[in-house]
Amino acid sequence: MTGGTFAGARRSGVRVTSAEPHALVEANDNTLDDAWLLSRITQGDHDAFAQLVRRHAPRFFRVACRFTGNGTESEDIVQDAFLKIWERPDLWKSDRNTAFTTWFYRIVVNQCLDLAKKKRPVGLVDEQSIEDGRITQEQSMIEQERSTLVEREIARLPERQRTALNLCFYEELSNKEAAEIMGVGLKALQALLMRAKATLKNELKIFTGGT
Amino acid sequence: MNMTNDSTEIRAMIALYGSDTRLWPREARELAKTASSKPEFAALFEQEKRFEQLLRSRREPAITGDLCDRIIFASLARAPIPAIAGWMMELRNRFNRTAIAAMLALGFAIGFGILAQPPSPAPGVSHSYTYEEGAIL
Repeated sequence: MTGGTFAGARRSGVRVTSAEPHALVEANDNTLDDAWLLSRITQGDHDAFAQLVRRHAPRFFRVACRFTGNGTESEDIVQDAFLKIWERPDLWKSDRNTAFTTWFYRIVVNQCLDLAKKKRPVGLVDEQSIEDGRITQEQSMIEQERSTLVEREIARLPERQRTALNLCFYEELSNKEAAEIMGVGLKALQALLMRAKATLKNELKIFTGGT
Repeated sequence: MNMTNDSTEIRAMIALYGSDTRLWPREARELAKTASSKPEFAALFEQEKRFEQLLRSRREPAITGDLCDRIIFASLARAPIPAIAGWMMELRNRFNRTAIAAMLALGFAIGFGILAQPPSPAPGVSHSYTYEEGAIL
């Protein structure tokens, strides 16, 4: 098994079991841990809060960056969202049938979209926040140009299509979970995702050899 | 007819779920097997895979090493809001300030209105303390 899929699954904290290769199954221990940490935070346990931050901040920073294209703003958004949890842990009720991550995705995505409405359209990711592990300089330039073009085309997508793409493709969430985060039906989410992909395929066909 | 339907469905599945059939929904497992085994879909899968690789060339943002530390440190300066104050904040979030002010004013008005009324006399007890004119004391 090669490629980004399973590496991405591991990165996002989702475990693929050998018995069910067709489904990405949320690890039960992670879900329970989040609920337990939040119950501790409700009682003012700062260590539990610190653990929650270390577990999830990097992932949500990546999510925010994909929307804002700005590392500094993304850090502010993630910080504000976590501080909101520290001040009001009761905002997420564990008796709801919603995983903490799903709920937190919604908060972060909404904050990103609110910020985007207040300012200029989403731009490219800041150069200084980008890691570059390429080997040769020429190759690096080609990769950079391609990446820039991809970023630009994604930024041109309508907001909801961009959100659907970020959640389903880059965050590798299930369609159901992404629909829940966006507050839309499953069919609507799938339509948004397919339209986003179709637009990008058309705009980027020079790279994929598509027609 | 069946082949045409399958073909349309497979194309839709590839477009929606991507080139990795392991990520297709459980109910599409049979369709995934069919798609993987037919050479006519190989080009579609290949094209989808190239598209996905292109999307993944999007640069991953680098997190600064101390974001977690900053969040944790910032939280030290903020105290959790107690639950009792939490419901008041919930109220403030649900209703605008005008509505809350109006409700408070109404509440005060009703409360003072009740307090301002004289108490009703107990049965059989006269509250008349004035004497009739000319009465002999």
